[in-house]
Amino acid sequence: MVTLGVEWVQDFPPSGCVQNNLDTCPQAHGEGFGDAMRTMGHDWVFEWGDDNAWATDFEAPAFSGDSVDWSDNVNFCWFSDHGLDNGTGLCFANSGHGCFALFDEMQLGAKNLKWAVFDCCDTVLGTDANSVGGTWFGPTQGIHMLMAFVGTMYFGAWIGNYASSFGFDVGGGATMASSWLGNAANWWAGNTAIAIAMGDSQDQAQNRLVWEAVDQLTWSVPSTSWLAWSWWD
Amino acid sequence: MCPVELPEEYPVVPNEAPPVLRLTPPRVSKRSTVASASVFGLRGDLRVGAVRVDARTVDYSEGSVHHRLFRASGGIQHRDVSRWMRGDPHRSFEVSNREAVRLAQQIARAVPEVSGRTEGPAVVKRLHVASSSKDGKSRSDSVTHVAVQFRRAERGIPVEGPGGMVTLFVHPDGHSSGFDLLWRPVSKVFRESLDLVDARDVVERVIRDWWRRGLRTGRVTRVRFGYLELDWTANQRLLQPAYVVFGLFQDPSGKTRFGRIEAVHASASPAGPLLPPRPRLERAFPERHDASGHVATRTKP
Repeated sequence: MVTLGVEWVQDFPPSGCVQNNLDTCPQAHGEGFGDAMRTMGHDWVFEWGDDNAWATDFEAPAFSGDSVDWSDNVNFCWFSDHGLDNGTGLCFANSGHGCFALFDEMQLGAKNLKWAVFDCCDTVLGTDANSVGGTWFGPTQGIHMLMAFVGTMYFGAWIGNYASSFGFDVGGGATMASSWLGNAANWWAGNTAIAIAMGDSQDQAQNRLVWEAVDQLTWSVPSTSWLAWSWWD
Repeated sequence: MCPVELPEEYPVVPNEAPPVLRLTPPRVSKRSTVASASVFGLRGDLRVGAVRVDARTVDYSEGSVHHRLFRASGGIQHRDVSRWMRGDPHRSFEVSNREAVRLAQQIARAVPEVSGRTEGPAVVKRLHVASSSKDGKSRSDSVTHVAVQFRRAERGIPVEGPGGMVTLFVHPDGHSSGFDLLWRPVSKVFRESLDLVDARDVVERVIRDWWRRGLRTGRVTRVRFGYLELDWTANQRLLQPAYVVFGLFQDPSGKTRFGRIEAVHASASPAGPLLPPRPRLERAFPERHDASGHVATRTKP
């Protein structure tokens, strides 16, 4: 059994950080994932939505954040919202705690976090080594894998809740990368999903892409010396 | 004045409006799942395999092969999990698109459920595995799997949406590692030809709706026309003509962008709902307090 936390933002009130609203997709995705994982026997510890989701939940204490009490206090964290279109961070609605959590101010996995899904546009801008490595070597400090999207993605409540399907699959023991790419990649819509694995060697990172599942909670990443990533193109 | 840019082109629609088609309701049970597994080459025998049932799916597994039927759609996911999306990252699977389609059609011939559905337009996708060392001095990128997706057409009309497709996953050994089949069978014509709405009117209506939702800076990137087939978990009973409108938006501060896809009835007098009802989501949240003593942890009930 693993612990999980869910955060999502879809309404941006005029009094807070200004972004386009996302209707109901982020909540449906976050709760779809959480419900599925709980159905499969995992422990859903917290859920913060809209104004209650804060940038500090993802920022490391070294950058005045509180990640060790929230995103990094669980094994698996799901976040749905906008990403910054220059590929540098996540967006939030509550201006009192910062409108953006920058990737450079994250230390993912410094405490308990093993897997994260950033269900947003522009978590990586390309699939080349400069785009992926340039963004993700720094912030990954113990996390095993990150699931995300490349560039801009298209939402639509009716095109399918990949979050729920992914939760049922990985929650039931299926491998992380194949479940993510199998559910979240949408060739018809043009959404490119990516799974990024960390390792202290090339073999470890590549093996993690193939074999990592929730029962590999203790297969640690002593240092992120290598990244391996996979996507359909 | 329209700040959302109109599309560069509109889809070609048939002179005669296509009929609305009734779909055969799926009958998914333990028995039908085991029987379906045998069509895909499994023994389909509960003495050697196992069945797992939940509200969404019925899964039959035999060794490393998992055969899943979705209750709502009848869609099938068939995967050899010891081989699906797995290959040697040190040896790239180089195959042309034409060869990939030929391989997929050859594989499909052995599976009656799939074989008649590989004649339409095909999309070839490659599963890349890349790696890099932290200093960037050592890098690799190889293809470990190929997938070929054939899109459905019904009466010459393309089927749009997440459904209406069969995907064959080809392992580097040249054999199949899995199939996805989401192709709801048609039982009969539900209603004959109806007048079609003009695509330009639909796009204008969609843009007005976006405006109402605050989406005011962006462009319509494409508009498609076809029958609309929904995703794995949708309980769809009619196949109806629709326009699908893709919009790409920039936020007012210019820091984020995202896309939306809308599906709208193409018929002037629709036969029924085009899309499933939106999920009812809980909206009452407790106030989250600042860290000065009282940070409330919300555990979803």
